[in-house]
Amino acid sequence: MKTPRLVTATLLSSVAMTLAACGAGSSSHVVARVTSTTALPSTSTTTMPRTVATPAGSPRAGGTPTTTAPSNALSTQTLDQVAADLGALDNNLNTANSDLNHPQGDS
Amino acid sequence: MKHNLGRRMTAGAVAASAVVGLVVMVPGAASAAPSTTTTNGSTTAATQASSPRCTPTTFRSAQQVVEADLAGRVAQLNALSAAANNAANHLTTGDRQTLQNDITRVELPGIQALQTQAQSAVTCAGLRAVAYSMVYNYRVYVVMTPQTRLTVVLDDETYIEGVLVHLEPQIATAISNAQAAGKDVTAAQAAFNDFKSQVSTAQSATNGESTQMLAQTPYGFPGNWQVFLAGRTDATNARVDLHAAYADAERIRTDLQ
Repeated sequence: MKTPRLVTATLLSSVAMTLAACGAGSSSHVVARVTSTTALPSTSTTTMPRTVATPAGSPRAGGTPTTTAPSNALSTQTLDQVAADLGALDNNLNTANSDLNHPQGDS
Repeated sequence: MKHNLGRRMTAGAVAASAVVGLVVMVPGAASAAPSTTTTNGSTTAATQASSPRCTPTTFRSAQQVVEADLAGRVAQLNALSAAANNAANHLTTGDRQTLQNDITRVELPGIQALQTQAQSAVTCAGLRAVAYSMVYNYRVYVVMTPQTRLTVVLDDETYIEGVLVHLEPQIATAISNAQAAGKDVTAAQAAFNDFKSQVSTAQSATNGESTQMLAQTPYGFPGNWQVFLAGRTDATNARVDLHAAYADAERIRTDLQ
């Protein structure tokens, strides 16, 4: 049986590895929050309950709470994938911005 | 499917009837391209009144302009279809299907049919009818494009929010274990609280936005341009929040080392 310190070390090691892998993607595209320039009603002003879509390959929420470290491999895989997803998100948002700022014409 | 071809064509006929005689149609994007202006940081797209350029003597060149504009729209729709089909993004199954239906079963066949009509047109009036339909019935650039691009972004963000929420128990356990081992976790706990706040704020920003993007139709332009701009703002804010959540996680990692 692992000691608490060992369990902590295992967890931190897992988090450290995965966060290091995604650190580059999180720091290179920082932009300021912007305020919507439209007065149209938006559903985004309503605080939503913290329900989430369950991503494929991610740990499931709910179930029996656990105090043991989750699988290191799964944790690393999940965070690495998020890092990649954040990078893809940046690219997709740039594309959307480009299209909105410079519509080709309709025309 | 958000809107089927029959419904769109009916609506298009009504819209066309309403504006016939009010808008001087000219062929091609060059003659009917929207102007974009920036006011207080907000991009505005508006369809300009066109100046007639098709005369019997210039018919062939006008026809070529229309054909080029149609070809450009086919290329754009193919690009949008590829984006909607890209398995690397995280469009929900339903949103992906909705976009695919609109792009490949309504927009693309419609524009391709207009290509045939443009090729067979023999009068300026016929050419104007094709150009008019190309713009007003399909809105490839100012509706279909932002709709597709923003839905991809917003669904991506929703997915990432879900992943981060699922990480919260893991981080909480790490902090708890560190504390049990005698570590000062004050800073880590503060970062974790901010992490949760950032994710929650991102969720609020994106909540319902994809549905709102997909509800827009070509006939809603130019009014729905502001809807797209608002969606872009929310998507941008959510992106900032998600990156901030990662910064918090990095802080936690450092503090617990």
